[in-house]
Amino acid sequence: MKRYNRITPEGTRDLFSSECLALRKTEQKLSQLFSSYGYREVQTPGLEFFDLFSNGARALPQEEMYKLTDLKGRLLVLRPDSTAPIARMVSGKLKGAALPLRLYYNQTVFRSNPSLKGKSDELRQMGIELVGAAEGIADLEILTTAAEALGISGAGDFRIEIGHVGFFKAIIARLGISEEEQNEIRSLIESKSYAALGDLLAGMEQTPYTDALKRLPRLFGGEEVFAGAAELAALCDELSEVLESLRNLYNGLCQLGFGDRIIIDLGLVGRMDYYTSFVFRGYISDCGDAVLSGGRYDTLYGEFGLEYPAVGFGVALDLLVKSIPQEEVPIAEVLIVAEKGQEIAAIRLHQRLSEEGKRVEISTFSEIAAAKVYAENQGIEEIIFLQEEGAE
Amino acid sequence: MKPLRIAVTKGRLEQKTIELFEKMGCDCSEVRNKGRRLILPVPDLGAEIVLAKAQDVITYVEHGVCDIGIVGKDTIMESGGSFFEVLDLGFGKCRFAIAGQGEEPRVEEIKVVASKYPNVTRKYFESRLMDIDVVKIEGSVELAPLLCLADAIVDIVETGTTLKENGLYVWQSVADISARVIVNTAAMKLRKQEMESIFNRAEAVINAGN
Repeated sequence: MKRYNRITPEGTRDLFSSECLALRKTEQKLSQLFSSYGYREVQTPGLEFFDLFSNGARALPQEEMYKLTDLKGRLLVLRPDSTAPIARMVSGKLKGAALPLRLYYNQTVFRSNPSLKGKSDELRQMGIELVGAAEGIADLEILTTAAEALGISGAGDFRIEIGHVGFFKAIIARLGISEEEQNEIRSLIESKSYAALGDLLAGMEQTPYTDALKRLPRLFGGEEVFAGAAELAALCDELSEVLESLRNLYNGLCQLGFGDRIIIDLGLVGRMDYYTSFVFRGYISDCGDAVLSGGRYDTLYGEFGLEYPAVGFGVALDLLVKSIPQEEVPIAEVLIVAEKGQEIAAIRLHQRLSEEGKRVEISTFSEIAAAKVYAENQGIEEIIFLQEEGAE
Repeated sequence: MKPLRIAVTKGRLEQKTIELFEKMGCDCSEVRNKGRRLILPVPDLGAEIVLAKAQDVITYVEHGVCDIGIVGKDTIMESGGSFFEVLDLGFGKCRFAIAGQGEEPRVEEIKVVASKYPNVTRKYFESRLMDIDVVKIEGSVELAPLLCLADAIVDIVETGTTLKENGLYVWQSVADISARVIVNTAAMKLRKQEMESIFNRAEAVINAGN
């Protein structure tokens, strides 16, 4: 039998000290940011029932989840997402708590990726959930928090991209086509398959709305998108309202000084059933994936019997940390070397020095020569040698 | 700003792509005289060309180490992945088809299918609610029905000559194929202007050719 006792499963890996340091520092910066906006940390279990992620809009593809069974044979999953567990927690244990609730999390989620794609199955995520806050200032606040999160992370240049699912939903609802066709159009817009989308729409009855759909995936970029979308928005009140609300968010962010960081994409149509209003993503340079994603999901809590509007986002810590320049892990400043018989004195000295805020290591070598070699290898500058007569 | 990286499928699509770039007015002499180099500059595009196998083009674009990729729809359908598919270049045209022995199509009776494209095959028959076994073949797929390993094959058909010479007939078309331009999702957003100027120039050439 082949034994797998010296390697880790595909999609997982060990983190070295320098990576841990960068990770912890980023976590600290983000927790501080979230706390400064009044968010409080929560944690949810690593194991959840499969049912939490198998129904309704929050459903995830079952092949993406790690599954196991409990002692009664019920199906469990390794936490694949944090928003649904927090909604479960809020609708149960925190039911009746004063709204809005501001919660943040810092925990790992697990996703089963196809083999040999070089993707991680263990993803460290931090995020915020603003529960019970309707559209308005909360949306602008969330977007500002997202921009600040990427700004303070030290990952360099970043962009926040905003879109609105209402745009697509309003147009597609007027075409009177089957759900299957809707899904096909949605996936073509999502992948910006201009040609295939054009072909598909050409086979349908031509209305201003089919034309609008055809243009949707190209409506992304800077402020000029609003001018390009104005014609579409004139088609009906619903569209002009959506565009107006997006424009307000955009203007707000510009006034807050993020103007050159914001891009707009009216073709952002992923996870349509989940998001109900504006959606956004964060990008940093030299990273091929979005490092941040979020939006408003006002119907999620309805699945738990609560009429709570909610908005939030999550940050992919691993991607963020990868693009932060790594720092040297700090080494000890002092090495205490204790001769035989000086052990108690050595530990007492360590207690005293560390109270002063020094990083102090106690040598495991009692001979000064060996300790000196060790100190030199490690780069420890000061050695204190404890002998019979006292410290040298 | 770093040059855009364009991953191009080696071989036939590579030749067609160079022709396209030249029609766009770009000097591709470095690519034409590549020797054994795999990364080659095309200064007029502000880009570097990376020559790779079809599946690898998708991998590089998906991971964002290349911004743009030029790859056949056949590979996209087989490999999947998340990226934007923005342009149909119109060359490298062929189709996926089901073929078998006998002129009369007997698709409903198929139980075992051989293919170099197991995912495309499985997905197609799944959509027809047929439970079939897929056998992956690496070389000449036409052998499988001749040796009675499979009832039919799913393969790329261009002219159908190879099929005919081996007594196989196209029973059904599955999908049309041509070369596509794919783009990394983040790069599309971060470098929109540069990309669109390239795509617009390419589209102008393609439309002029039609």
